[in-house]
Amino acid sequence: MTRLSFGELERFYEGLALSIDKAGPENESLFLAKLAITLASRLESGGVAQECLKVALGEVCGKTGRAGEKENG
Amino acid sequence: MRPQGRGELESLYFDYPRFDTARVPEPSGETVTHQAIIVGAGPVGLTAAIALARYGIKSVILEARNTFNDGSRAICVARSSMQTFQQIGVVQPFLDKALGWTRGRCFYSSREIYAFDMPYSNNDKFYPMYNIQQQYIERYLWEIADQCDLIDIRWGSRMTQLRQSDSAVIVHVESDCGAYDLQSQYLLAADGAHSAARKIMKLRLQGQNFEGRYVIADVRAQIDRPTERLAMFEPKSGVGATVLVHRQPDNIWRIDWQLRDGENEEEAIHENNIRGSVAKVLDELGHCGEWDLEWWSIYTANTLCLDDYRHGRIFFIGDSAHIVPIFGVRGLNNGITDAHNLSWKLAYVLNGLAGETLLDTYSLERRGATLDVFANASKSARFMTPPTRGWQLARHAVLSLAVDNEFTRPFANPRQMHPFAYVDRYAEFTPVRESEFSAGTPYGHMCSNAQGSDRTYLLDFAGQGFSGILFATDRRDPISAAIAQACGALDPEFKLVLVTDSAGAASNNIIPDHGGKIASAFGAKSGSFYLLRPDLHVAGRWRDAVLGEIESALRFQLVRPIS
Ligand SMILES: Cc1cc2nc3c(=O)[nH]c(=O)nc-3n(C[C@H](O)[C@H](O)[C@H](O)COP(=O)(O)OP(=O)(O)OC[C@H]3O[C@@H](n4cnc5c(N)ncnc54)[C@H](O)[C@@H]3O)c2cc1C
Repeated sequence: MTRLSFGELERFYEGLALSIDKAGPENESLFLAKLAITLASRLESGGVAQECLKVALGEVCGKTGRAGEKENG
Repeated sequence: MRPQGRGELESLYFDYPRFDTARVPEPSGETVTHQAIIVGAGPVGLTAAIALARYGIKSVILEARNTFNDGSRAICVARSSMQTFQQIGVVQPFLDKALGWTRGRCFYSSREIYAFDMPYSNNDKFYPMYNIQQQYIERYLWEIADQCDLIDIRWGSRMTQLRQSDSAVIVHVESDCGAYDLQSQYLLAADGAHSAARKIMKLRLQGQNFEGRYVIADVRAQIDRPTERLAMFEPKSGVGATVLVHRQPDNIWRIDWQLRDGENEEEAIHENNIRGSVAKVLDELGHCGEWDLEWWSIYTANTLCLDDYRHGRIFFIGDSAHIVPIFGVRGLNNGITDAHNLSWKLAYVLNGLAGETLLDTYSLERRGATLDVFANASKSARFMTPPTRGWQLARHAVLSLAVDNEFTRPFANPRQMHPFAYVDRYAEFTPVRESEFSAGTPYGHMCSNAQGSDRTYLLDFAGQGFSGILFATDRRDPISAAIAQACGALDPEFKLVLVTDSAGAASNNIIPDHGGKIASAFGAKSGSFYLLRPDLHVAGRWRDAVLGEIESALRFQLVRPIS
């Protein structure tokens, strides 16, 4: 599978920003969840989709986790 | 603005000189027509005057103030500007004072997510970027200009009227000492963002205003950190969505942040609030010692420019012609390039060496450079200052991903200054030999530097006028004499530089390239030739020098009939 070039990723970023605004604050999370499911459904392997979940979750939950690790170590 | 109790020019580290207002010239029977009047002794006007003088052109600078610009303003001088300073013979004080740097580091919520190194190798004489306060830039340029007989700086002298005929420009000058008219062949409006020339001529800047409002504050503090560009996105201090920090000479630090949506401007720039914000940023930087507030200001990000930088005998250079967002650090740097671009062309025209239409290429080339900034500016502005919830969330997402993942880190890249290539103009001139090269600086681009085997730098050998770089095994190569003669006949300042594969030390115009590093970087072999303009942009290159074509290329540059 070939990866998106940075230029294409950037175009997607721009479209994403504009679409979030279009969806409006009330529908924002629904829109993002729908987007994620749509993207996943077009992937060729379920493994990649699971991995993406981890990547996206990483920093979100990692905030406290990682800071804690640093303090301990 | 300065802290309460300190005067407008009471700096913690810089002594502002106070120049006497120029006397009003005695009314004389005959009217003198000067070669050039420059309105504005900012960095751009001063650069233009010095560049013109290098070609023997006299100028009168009119400056409304009696000293340099207050506050620090522009601080980042790009490699290309240093190269220009070298070309016009003013670079040394900058090298002595400025802080060179190569590295930028980006933080997201206090964690480092990305570091970038700007291109810098043995072949580069100058660092990609230097930090130095604008007052020093003006002072160093002034020191040179003041010593030069061809430059007449008139402080405290404001241009209030301006008109032109087919043969001259006439301005009206007012000062505390009186008023008078002054006439010249050409006028360079280097009178800044609020250009009086632009207003008098009823010209309007066109473009976009962005939403963000930024505060810049300079503080003096002893902080033990290298000179790097620090970008803090969503900083813990909560001072703004993006905070930029730069080190300047004299232990001065530039802190730059964006006001939050709905934040009241007047309140935000109140001294106490500035102090509060600065304290938080310094705390985040780990500085717990003393600090002093030097100066602060507020600005917005705009991309605006004139439709044409030339109006008959009047030319707009620097901020009078274009205003760009400062986080790309192009405001001042592009202005310096404008000044040099126009000056050599004007000098060649005034000295009878080039056709008058050469002056039209100034606007074509330099406006192109501004539009190139515009193309990237909205992207950068939206990233630095996400205007809506959508942009904010998207930015949060990529920055947050960047903590652990490579794939979104390039979003934090500041897309900084690179010299613009003048390729449009070459559409009229077929660069037939371009395809013969697989390396080296292409047509229209500013020539990259290279180091000879004795550690001298190639571009140090470039002349004030057009230069030719001939790669030769034998110093007595007959083509070298033929090129020198043909080009010298068109441009008396023409300088031929030989790059030879011999060892030994460089001399006047011979650079040893033992081992052939320069040749390979330039995609050259013995007999290859590069033609450079006075501003070091490549005007043509040949894998095998062809005398007739070289001469035609130079004639094309000078807008002279091609035989
Ligand atoms: C607050 C602030 C912060 C900035 N920060 C940065 C930065 O961080 N990085 C960056 O790259 N750029 C920055 N800039 C922009 C940078 O300072 C300008 O790009 C640069 O000064 C342009 O130089 P200039 O010579 O074209 O104009 P100026 O420096 O503005 O000089 C114009 C001169 O013309 C004179 N003048 C005006 N009208 C007349 C008249 N009628 N008669 C006679 N003289 C006249 C003025 O007194 C002035 O001295 C900043 C600008 C401001 C205002």
